[in-house]
Amino acid sequence: MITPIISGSSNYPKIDIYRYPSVISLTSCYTYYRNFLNCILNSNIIHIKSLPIYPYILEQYNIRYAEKWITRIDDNFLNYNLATMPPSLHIPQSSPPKNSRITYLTIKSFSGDVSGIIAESIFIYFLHSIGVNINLVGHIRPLKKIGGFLPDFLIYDKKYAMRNLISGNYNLPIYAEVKGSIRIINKYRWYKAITQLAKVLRQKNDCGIIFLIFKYSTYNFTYKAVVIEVRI
Amino acid sequence: MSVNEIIQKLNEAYDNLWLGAIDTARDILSSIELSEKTLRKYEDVKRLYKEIKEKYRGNDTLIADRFREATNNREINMEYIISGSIHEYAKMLANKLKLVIEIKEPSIITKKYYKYSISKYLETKYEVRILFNNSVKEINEQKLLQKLKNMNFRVESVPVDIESLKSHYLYISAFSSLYFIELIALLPRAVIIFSFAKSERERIQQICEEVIDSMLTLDNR
Repeated sequence: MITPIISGSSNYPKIDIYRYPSVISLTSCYTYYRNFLNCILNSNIIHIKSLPIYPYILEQYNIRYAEKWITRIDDNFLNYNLATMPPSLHIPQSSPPKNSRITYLTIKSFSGDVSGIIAESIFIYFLHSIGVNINLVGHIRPLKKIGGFLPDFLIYDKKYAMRNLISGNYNLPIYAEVKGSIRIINKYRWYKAITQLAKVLRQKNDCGIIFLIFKYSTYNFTYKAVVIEVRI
Repeated sequence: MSVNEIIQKLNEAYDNLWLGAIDTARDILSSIELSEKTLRKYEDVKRLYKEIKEKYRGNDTLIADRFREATNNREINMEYIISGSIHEYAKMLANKLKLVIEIKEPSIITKKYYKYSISKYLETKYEVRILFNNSVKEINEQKLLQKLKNMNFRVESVPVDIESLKSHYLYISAFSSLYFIELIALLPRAVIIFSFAKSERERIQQICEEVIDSMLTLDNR
């Protein structure tokens, strides 16, 4: 037996993943819309697991599943997770033209696209880690450009690996909408997620999930993720 | 063709695109065929959605509710919508791929249990992309480590503590006085970066296959 030199997951960043204990019904979700994150975070969210993030794996999920073409999400994830800001940019000695309302770009900001890709990659990572066959997961986001009526992911969880995330029986596919942010997700994005699922959930056993990955503030270390079940 | 078969086809096409097998990806996308009934229903859905979107412009809640009601009333189930959408997307992508046929694609080497392509960065640095067949269910890490050790590599591997990923995932870096190899696998894909101290153009294919073969968990190979 060859013993690897590096071992264990203790040195890797971890993301705590929670489950919102109640099912959100499409008929009442607009109450949540007003103050949804407080509702969610002030409730007794159930801790599912601490997921160690191996950056090289994350990059593979990114390449295979994320919508946009951004590479080295392994590197980006570490920066975004720890909120590592790049050093201030060099600025010229002369000031910008007077009264032009122009200022020099001195600090770069975090990118929403990168946050979105981190969220999508971590979502697939999470599904795989709980035993979902990810070959039966389809990222159908590009189809939004055609019709606009489908959410981010369709999950044919034939092994019922997601049964602990979902209450009661469910039809396949499970529809998933993923939202990610470096700070608290704003209510409009939550609203978007809900309306996206509202187009596809028809019957009692149709099931949608919203996967939110966020931080309480940009400079908080480490992301937190919540899985929310949505039914008609 | 069922919806989950279509999803599998789409993922398979993406995998082949990643490998550089554009013709294969296009063939897979073109093989997604739907019944006349499904296509008709899907056309209905598109028209309906467009009408609703125009009528309730700016109110996403109403658009979602009305769309759901309208498709329910017309007995258009989600299967028509999903398979129709993917079918349309697949056709669009297959057509786009016709345009890139002029670009010289990397040559794909097909073996019994996998196929791979070699891209040259430099005379001394190559990226090899490997796509395993469905018959390869897991990676034989121990055999690979032994193989590399026999090739006089010092090997570092990063094991994963997540049970369901253990047999699907591998990260190894191996180096000797003349070579550096970085290998990342997440089935059905794997990438190997080879860096050599001097050009090994003639041997790259042989070294590559030796390494890949040792990853396979197949008794009758």
